[in-house]
Parts: sequence; structure tokens; C-alpha cells
Amino acid sequence: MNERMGGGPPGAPLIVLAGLQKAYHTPAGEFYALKAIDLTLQRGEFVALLGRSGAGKSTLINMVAGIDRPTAGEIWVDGHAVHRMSEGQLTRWRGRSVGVVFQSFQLMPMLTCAQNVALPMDFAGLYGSPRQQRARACALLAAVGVAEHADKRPAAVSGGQRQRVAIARALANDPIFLAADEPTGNLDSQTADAVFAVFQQLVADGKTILMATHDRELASRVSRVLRIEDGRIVEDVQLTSAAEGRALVAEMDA
Amino acid sequence: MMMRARAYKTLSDLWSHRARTLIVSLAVAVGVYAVGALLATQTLLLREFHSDRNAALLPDASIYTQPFDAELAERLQALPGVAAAEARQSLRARVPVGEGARRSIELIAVDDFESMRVHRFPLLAGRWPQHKNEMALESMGLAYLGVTLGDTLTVELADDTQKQFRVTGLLHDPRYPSPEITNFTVGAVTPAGMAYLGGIDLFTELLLRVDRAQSAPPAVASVVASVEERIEKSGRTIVGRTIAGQAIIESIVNTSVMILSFFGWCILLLSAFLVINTISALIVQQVNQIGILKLVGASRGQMVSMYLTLVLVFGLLAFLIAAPLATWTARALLTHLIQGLLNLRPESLAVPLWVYGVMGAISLLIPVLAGLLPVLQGTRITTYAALNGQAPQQVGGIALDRLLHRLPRRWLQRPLMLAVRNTLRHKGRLLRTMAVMSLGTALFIAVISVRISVDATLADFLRYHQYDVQLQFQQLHRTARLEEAARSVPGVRAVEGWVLGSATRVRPDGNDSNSYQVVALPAGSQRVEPIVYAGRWLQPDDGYAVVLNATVAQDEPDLQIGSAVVLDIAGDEHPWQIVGIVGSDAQGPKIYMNQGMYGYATRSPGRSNTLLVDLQERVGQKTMETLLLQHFEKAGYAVRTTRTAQTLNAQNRLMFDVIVSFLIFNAVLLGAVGSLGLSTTMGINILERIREIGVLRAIGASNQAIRLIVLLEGVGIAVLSWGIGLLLSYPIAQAMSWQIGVALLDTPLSFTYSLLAAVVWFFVLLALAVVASLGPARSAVRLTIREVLAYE
Repeated sequence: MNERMGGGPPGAPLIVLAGLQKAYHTPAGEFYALKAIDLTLQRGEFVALLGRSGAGKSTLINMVAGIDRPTAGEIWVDGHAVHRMSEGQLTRWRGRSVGVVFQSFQLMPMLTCAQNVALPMDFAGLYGSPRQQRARACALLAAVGVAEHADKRPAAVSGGQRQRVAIARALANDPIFLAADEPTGNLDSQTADAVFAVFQQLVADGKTILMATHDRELASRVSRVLRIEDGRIVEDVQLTSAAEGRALVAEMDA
Repeated sequence: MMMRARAYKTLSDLWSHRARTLIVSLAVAVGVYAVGALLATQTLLLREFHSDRNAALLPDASIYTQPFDAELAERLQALPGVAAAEARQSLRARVPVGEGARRSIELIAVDDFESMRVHRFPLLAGRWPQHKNEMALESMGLAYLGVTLGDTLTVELADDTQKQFRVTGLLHDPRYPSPEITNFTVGAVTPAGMAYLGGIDLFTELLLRVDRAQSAPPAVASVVASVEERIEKSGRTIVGRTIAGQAIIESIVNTSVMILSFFGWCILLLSAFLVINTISALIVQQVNQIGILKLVGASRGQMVSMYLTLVLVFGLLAFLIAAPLATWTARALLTHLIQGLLNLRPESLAVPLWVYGVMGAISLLIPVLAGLLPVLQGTRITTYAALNGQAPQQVGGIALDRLLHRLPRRWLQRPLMLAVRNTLRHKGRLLRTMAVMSLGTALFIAVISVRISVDATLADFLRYHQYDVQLQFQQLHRTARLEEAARSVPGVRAVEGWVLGSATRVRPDGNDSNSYQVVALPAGSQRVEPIVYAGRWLQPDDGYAVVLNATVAQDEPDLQIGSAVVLDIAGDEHPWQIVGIVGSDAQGPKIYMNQGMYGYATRSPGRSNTLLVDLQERVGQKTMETLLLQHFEKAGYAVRTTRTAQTLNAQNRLMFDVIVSFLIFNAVLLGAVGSLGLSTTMGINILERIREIGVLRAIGASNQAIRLIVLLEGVGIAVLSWGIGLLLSYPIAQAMSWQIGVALLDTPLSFTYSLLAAVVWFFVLLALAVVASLGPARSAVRLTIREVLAYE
């Protein structure tokens, strides 16, 4: 493959991981968080990544979003060789192409919700003047249902609202896909449901989402479930209906 | 106009942490202020001092000869190498200032006040004297003599005749510092006024300025020689000459400037460390935010410019705080301290732009440099590492960590272990903090030691003046008769007669030296306790033997112990053997010899012109000075001057005042920078560890245990820095007291190390460490565990 295929044909897979490994140095020696992951994600998929704490979910999310670097293997996203990018290139690419949502929100405490959402547009130099950027930020906040909190600081809104703001920020530059690491982990089940509904709407609108979670109930409502264990993908199931999902999750519980 | 989101972040970083913004700006400002104040003072002092003296066209040499008229001076001015020549005549007289006390005045006759070409006095007020009974007085002489412009003052001559002069104007003579230091003031009269004082309306002094282009000392000497030749051709004999050397006032200024620039650089270094610590800690705290910025696509350039903007604002605030204060300090020092002591008349108090430039560079450049590295490091690590607040690993730490691991467990109890680990976590910052505090400690102790050494030196000067009152007579008198007269005054315990004369050294090349004071004192004199630098003190059976003081030894470096020096005493040349060199008494070059030998050499045996009087206890020196003066005058002796050991000491002390004030000023600045360094470092360390403190409390550590950990850390840093500083302080103090002594007096100060300063500073540091640690520790302890664990 070329280093940059620039977008790639519509039928081509969005994300291709090949022989992906990630090792951490510990006093006891190398610890492999990811061991030879091969994976292909198609456009428009809503993929849930299931697994216990320490199984490698977050590591995999971080690799795909270019937040951390692999020890070996290749990461291709939309035709871009993410594994070959420098830290600077990664940052620029991520700013425009990836939306990231974390369990701990990672909002800037000193900025208002709207400013938090406008920040990626500002850095990427997209969507016009600060005023136009704000208009888009407000529209995004409205889309995730927190339009009335646009001018509040994150500390002044609830956890669920913060996560919606974080999602709106992830969508700021209209990314190719969203990477979400336990996005509902800090939320009660009702709020989690509401946030999840936002994701479902995004997928319905054509976005691709890779979401790490250990909420099996939520995982049963996606289009594809990956189970990761000990740094390997041990299960990869395409779901066609909610019933199928519930059955799969029940099976995993067993 | 709407602000961009990132601009809002920077603004909000500044505004929502106003206290932090202020503290960081103040930390930068302290350094900028210190450097700026020192630079500005030094620059103003040097500029105004030199412009003051240059404007006065001070002579390069003075030649003393037999009376001549102003025309001769004009002819001599035409000689090659001579830039200007002017005729003068001067006379020392006394002015009664009430209660029998008298003060000295140097009266100078000027041919034409309107066209002074050498040693030109600026007229500050009133008008020049026009009649024989008018005088222009040095402006500082007003207070010294207790008169005002327009008053009439009495001038008393050697033969006790008194003449009245009206003060018509005030002049400025930059040759001398305050009359409180020199113990005399200056007045200018017309040639007719000089005749009125019993002189003649001719001149006996020729003031010379040589061509500036060739004013190196050998050139001055050859020009002087050619002028003297011409004067001798006119049938006059040369009586003496003085080639201008470095005046005491110049020594004071040069030493002050030396101190100011030395401390300027030290404080610059210390404050740079302080600024680096503060700014880098601030940015290290923002690693998580750097992670978020990277997450949402901020490029390195964008982040660097955001943080540099932040840092530049700190710098700008610091500059705005420091620059006016520094200017104000420099002006206050100049007008309140220096002007009065050095008799300086500053023309302008404008601080040159380049000083502001340096201050601006320090306040902007150092923070930017300090901030750049952590920002670049923060942008270089992966977004994952930044998001998780993993500060970039510093080099050089591994060996320390390993060492710590090897230490036996029982040495390091758990709280101590934690304190040590915490302390070592940011090695670079620790090293800079310790450098600031060690150097601060060393310099503080050194400064106080120099201060004490000044006192010791002043005490040593008095060893050459072991009397209460000294009376100097116009003429030689029978010693026995003088002593007897003194003893009859109640309150006098002991008395000794000396001769204070003068001699010039006839150098091997036939040239004469400047005139040196000869002190001829009785064998086994009780009124002097010399500090012998080399050789030995005078012995009763010494013949043609002399002891030089350090100032003479400095002026005539070829003179060695055991060698002979040819002295011209009252026209009689004879070789004298040098048997010893003793310390200086800050009263100029002196040659000591036995009085018997002096009497023999000058054919005036058994005669003295000076009485040194030792008083009974509980008798005031001032009162007795007056009593003795009145007593001798009533008995018909013409007294030239009187002085007490106390006034001599006070005069010497005044000479050191500028220097000592600068030293204290620097000690205070150093103390401020050092303690600010400790406080900010401790504060930042603890802020960084609020989460860790929460974890400790969550696992059951008591508040006490947490305070102990924090306290041990602060006290540890303080004690260790103090120890290093202590080791450094001795050599630094010694070098400083040597430098200052040589610069000011041509001889090292009597070095005394101030252990007290070391001890006091130890407790100051300790107290600072405790205060700086406990404040943040308390606020950390007060937070709930949930808050602390959520703290980002």
C-alpha cells in the first residue's frame, strides 16, 4: 500500500490494523498490552470493544486514535499510515480526522462548553471566523442536547452533560471516525443511555465509531462486538439485531 | 470582535489564577528589580560622578613654587603638552563654630572667576566674591560651618588673627567627599582677599592640565618636568609638586561600582534560576492540558505560541512592577545616600534606556527560555503520556534513585523515605533551588562578614591613634614644656609629644616622590599599637631606621625591608634603613621613625609639634578637646588643629558608609531572592503532589504524618543548602574583604568571619522552610479525599 492513499475508495475499509503490538517497559520486563492485532473496520460501523480492565481496550483505542504509538505493526486509517506519522503529524491528523471521547471527559476547565467545542476548529483553522466557529459549536451542542449550557464552564454542568460536550467537541471538525474510551464509565445508567443514544444517532448519520466499554447492555446494541482478552481479539461478532446482541452478551456472561 | 478559543484559554490561565499570576510575576520581578536597581545605581553613580569631575577640569598636577603672577601661568600654558595652566594660591585656616570649637577651611585664591581654566568651580548660588572680604563657600560647607548664604564668617589664622568674610556665593568642589569625612571644607576668595588674609596677591601654585590625548602618567611627568624647567628659568625654585593619583573619593566610587556589579551578576544568576524553576514548574503542571490540546489537534507551534504568550505576560507584568521600583531605588540611593556623602551634584537622574533594555530582556527572555523547554518537551511526548500527566523524564536522576535504593531501610523511615523521594523527583529544579539558596547563604554570610571586617578594620586604624585628643601646633616646642602644660589640665591622665613632619623620597632616578607624612615618636610610645606586616616595629636603639605604612609600601613598590630609602626632610637628604612595614590607618602614607633620631636629623632635639593626650575615664573627649585648645591658646601656643579619636573614627566610618550601605542593600536583596526561591519551590512541589497527598490520606496517613513528610522535605533542602553555602561562604567572604580593602584602601580589610551571620541565616532559612512548607501542606490536608483525587 502507498503511504497515503488520501481518502481511499468508498468501498475500501476505513481502518486496517496489521500485526499491531504494544509493549510497556516494567521492572519485571516487557509487558505486552497488545499482541499481534489484525483488524479491519468498515465505514459506518458501530464497534464495541469489550474486555476486562487491563485487557488492552484502551491501548487499542489509543493506537487507532494516534494518542499512543505502537511497538510494532501497522495502523491504516482512511488510507493514512498512522504508525509512520511523527508526533506533530499525528496531532494535526487527529485534530481533523479523529474525534476522541474519554471516560474522564478531558475538557479544558477554564473554557466554556462552546469554547471547548470550538477549540479543535480554532487549531485546525476550519469553519471560518471565531464567530462562525462558535455558531457551529452551538449547533453541535444542540445536536447532542446541551445547547443551553453553551456558556457555562464544564465544572458547572453534570457528568452526562460534560460527556455530551466532549462528544460535541469530538465532532467539531467533522472527523472520519470517533474513538470513545469508556464514554459512559463515569455516568449513571440513565445518563449513560442518553449518551449512548447520541452515538446511535451519529452512526445513523453515517459516522463510524469505535467504543471501548465494559457495559455489556450497551455493547449489545451496536453493530459489531469485539472481545479483547490479554492483548488479543478473541471474539469478533457482527450483530444484525438487538436480540442477537442480547443473546451474545448473555453468552459472554456465562 | 470575538476572541479565538485558544486566546481565551491563555487569558483565562492568567485571569482565573490571579494569585498564581501575581506570584509568578513577582518571582520574576524580584530578579529584574535587583539587577535593574544595581545596574541603574551603578550607571547613574559612574556617569554623574565622572561628569561632575570632568566639568570641574581637575588638574593632572600641581606645582608649588615661589610667588608668580597670572601672566606666567598664561605663558606656561603655551608649552607643548600643556592643555591649560592656571595660577592659584591656597591656605589652610580655621573657622570658630561656637563653644571654642574650630573647623578647618581650605581657602583658594582665584585670579579670575569668570575664566577658570583648571579646577573650575561651578557657582551654585549667589555670586562670585568681588571684594577682599567676600568669599564663595563650598555648598556642603554651609552645614559644616553652620552659616547661610549672606552670613559673615570669621576666619582665624595661624597667628590667631581673625578676619571677617561675607559668604556671597556657593560653589561646588567635587575633589572632596563630604566635609564630615575630610574634616575640612573649601572656600574661594579673590587675590585681594588672600592678601587681606596676610598673604600676597600673587600665586604660589600652578595647576596643570595636560593634553588629554597623551595623559598617561609618564606623559604627565614629562610635561610637568618641562613646565618646571621653564619656571626655574624664570628664577623661581620649585618647592614641590603633586601628580594627581586616585583620590579617596574615586576609590569609594570604584569600590561601590565593583560591589554593585558583582552582586548584580550574582543576583541575575540566582533570579534566573528562580524564574526557570517557577515557569517550568508552572508549565509542567499543565502537562495534562497540553495533552488535551494535542488531543484536539493543537500543533507544536500553536502550543508554543500559546504558552509563550502566557509567559510573556508574566514577564511584562514583572517588568512593569520592577522597572519603576528599580529606577526609584537607584535615584533614592543616589540622592539620599551618595550625594551627601560623596558631595556629588547629579546633573540628571535619567536612567539610560539600555538599563531598561537589560531589565526588559531579563523579564521577557529568561521566562521565555525557561518556559520553552518544558513546552517543547510536553509537545514531544505522546498525547497519551501528556494526558496522563507524565512529565518528561529528567536526565541524571537514575544514579540518584539507585543510590537511594541501596541505602539501608532502617536509615530511611517511611515518612523520611517519602520526603527524600519527593525532594529528588525534580532533580533539575532541586539543583537550581539549592544553587539559589547555597549561593544566597554564602553571599549573605560573606556580606555580613565584610561588614564585620569593616568594623575590625576601623578598630585596627585606631591602633595607630591610641589617644583621646590630639593637638597639633603650628611650630615645634620643647616637648617637656608642652607635656607639662597639658598635665596641668584636670582630666588629663597621660600625655606624649610627637613630631608630625613631612618628607619626600628621593628616588634612585633623582625624582622626588609626593610628600609623605613623617611620624616621629618617642621610643616605646604607648600611643600606637602597630600591626606589623613585615619586618619589625621601631626599637629604642634604632638609628637611621624607618617603618613604612602599607600605603607608602604600595606607592613605592621597590622599597624592601632591609634596603635604604633616601629621604629629603626639610631639605636634608639622608639614607634611612627600612626595618618594617605596618598597616595603614586610612590617613594616607606615613613613615614612622624614632623622635630622637628625627630631632638629631633636623637639629631640633627634644622638640614636638603634636601632643597626644590620654584622658581619665568619664571625661568627654569633645569637652576636653575644647578645654585643652583654650588652655594652650591662653598660654600663647598657636594650635593648628585638634581632633579626638572619636571624630577620627567617625570620619573613617563615614568613608565606609556608602560601601556598607550597598553591602546591606545587597544582603537584603539576596535574602529576598533566596527565600522567595525556597517558598516558590516548596509551594510548587506541594501543589504538584496534592493528588499524592490525597492517596496517602486515603490509605490512612494522618494529617500529622503528611505534615511531617512535607516539613522534612523543606527543612532538608534548607539545611543542605545552608551547609553548602557555609562551606562556600568563608573563601567568598575572604576574597570579598580582600578585594574591597585593596580597592578602597590599597590594603586588605582586617578579615573577620561572621559566625553569627551563619547561625542567624540558618534559623532564617529554617523558619522560611517551615512556613513555606506548612502553608500549602495545610491547604492540601484540608481538602477532602474525593476533591484531592479528582484534582487535575
